[in-house]
Amino acid sequence: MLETEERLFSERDLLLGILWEGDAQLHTNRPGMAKTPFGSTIVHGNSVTSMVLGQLLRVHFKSAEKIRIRELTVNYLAPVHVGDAVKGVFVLEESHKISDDSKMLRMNFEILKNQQTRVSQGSVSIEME
Amino acid sequence: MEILGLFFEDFPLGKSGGSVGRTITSSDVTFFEEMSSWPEYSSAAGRLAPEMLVTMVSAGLMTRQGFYEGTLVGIIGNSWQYKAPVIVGDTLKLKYWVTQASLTKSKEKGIVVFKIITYNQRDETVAEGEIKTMMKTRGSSS
Repeated sequence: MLETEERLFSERDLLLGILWEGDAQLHTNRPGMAKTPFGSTIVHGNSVTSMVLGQLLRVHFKSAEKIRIRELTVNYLAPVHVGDAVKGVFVLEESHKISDDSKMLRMNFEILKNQQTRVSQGSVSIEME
Repeated sequence: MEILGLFFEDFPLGKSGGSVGRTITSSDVTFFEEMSSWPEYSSAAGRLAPEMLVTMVSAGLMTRQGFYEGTLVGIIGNSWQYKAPVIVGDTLKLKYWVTQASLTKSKEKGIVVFKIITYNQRDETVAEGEIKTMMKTRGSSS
């Protein structure tokens, strides 16, 4: 099992999704979101996944020369707000050799906020050399 | 919430469309890597765009269709297969179509699943995905 370090989400982190995915109101319209069950603006789900996966690659696979994500599936279960602390927990399901210097890993993962609430779960296949 | 988008009822099975182009720049990759802690990788062809950046740019090309504005309750899942590397300088476009549309129990919301193909300036598919959304219905109270 591999865990990423807990990361506290700040307002700055909202920008990651806003820059590339666009606004879609859920992430920037505070008065509008105050009237929804979310209660406030939320962080893009793909931003959360990017930050957790990025940290996994940077910390746990730093010796790999090349890494390519081949498949990713994520289901979102709960929102992440600014101020939430998030971490990922990855469990290796399968590993097989592709060639003499490359292999494929498939891992299931959960992303948790504030050490208890599951915000997403999914799987990722990573090819590495 | 201002309603400028489309409702669940506006997404019949098979409804399809396409996007404008979006060139991936070196700055896109630099900022993405810095903000997400993503490590930098290169190939013989050039600097690689992280797969999650491809996902987010694809999601952004969907947002630019305008149909989420005020009617999207949330993205509830997505799945992607990355078919070919995206290099700085590549221009991505996508085509999409609706593969599932079903009402929730309350009938105030509906699940709409979009199949997405993201391709580059050479018409090569770089990623195939599904985005699962929850959309408001016309009768929705919030």
